[in-house]
Amino acid sequence: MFKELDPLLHSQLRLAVMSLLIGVEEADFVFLKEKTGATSGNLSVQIDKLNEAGYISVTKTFKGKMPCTICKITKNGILAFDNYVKALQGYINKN
Amino acid sequence: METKLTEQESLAIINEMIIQARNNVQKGSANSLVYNGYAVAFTAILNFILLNVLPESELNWSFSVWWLMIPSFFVSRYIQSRIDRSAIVKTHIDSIVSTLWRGFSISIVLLLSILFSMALVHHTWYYFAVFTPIIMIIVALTEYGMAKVYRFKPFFWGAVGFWTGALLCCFFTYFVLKRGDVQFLILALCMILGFVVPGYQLNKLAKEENV
Repeated sequence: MFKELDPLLHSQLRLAVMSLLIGVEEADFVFLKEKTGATSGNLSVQIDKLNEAGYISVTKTFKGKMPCTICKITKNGILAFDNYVKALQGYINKN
Repeated sequence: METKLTEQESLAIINEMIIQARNNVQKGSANSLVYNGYAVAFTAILNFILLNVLPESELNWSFSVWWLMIPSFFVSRYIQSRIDRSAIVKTHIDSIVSTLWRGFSISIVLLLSILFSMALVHHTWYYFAVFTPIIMIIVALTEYGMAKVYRFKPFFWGAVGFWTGALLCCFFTYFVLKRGDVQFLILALCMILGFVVPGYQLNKLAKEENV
């Protein structure tokens, strides 16, 4: 039996966001947009989904007069990402 | 918008994004390092000059120039806070480097407290002769750690420079010239070679990476 891939992570943009956040301490929305090449609207929706699932924490703040959104992966997010990678390895080894 | 992924595509995304997140050196991230390099080098040279121009009875006043390090610390903090404010990402490396410099600051405060206590108890400033070499050893250790986390060779050579400088300080003070003022010239040289030069190189690298 193979572990089922987490449907929340098994999506191009959400997986990209999680993969970026696992490699950094925290990242601004601008950084995520720049690196993923996603549109602001789409990225915003996916970030909300990850936030609602408790995989990332989102802090809205200001840098000077500019609003900014800081995203940080949570412990649950790290665990989910770890499980996703392990499940993925299972599928790849099978093939 | 949802896109169905194959396992290979998932792995490719993870791989690509992890590479994207790695080695993100912020533009101007070494500005405070460069500033501190110049500030300490300038103060050390000023101390050396004063030691050589003041009358012997006034020589102890020359060390007062180091009080300039207090406002300089706040200038450095201001430069760093501007960099932090403009940063769009905070990497694990940034976090490790801040921790290293925090540890450095704690070590310096403790060292100063111990040396001042010894000076008060034994009524001599003689122990401060080892202050510069010890500081240089602690700076070298911190920079050695930075070289490892940034994987940036100029920091490694900067650390080697500070270790060598610490040895030269003792060598010239106690064995060759038998005068302590030369320590300040060695410190100034090490600050330029160990902070300013690698700082400029790191900024150049960051500029190239972030084009």
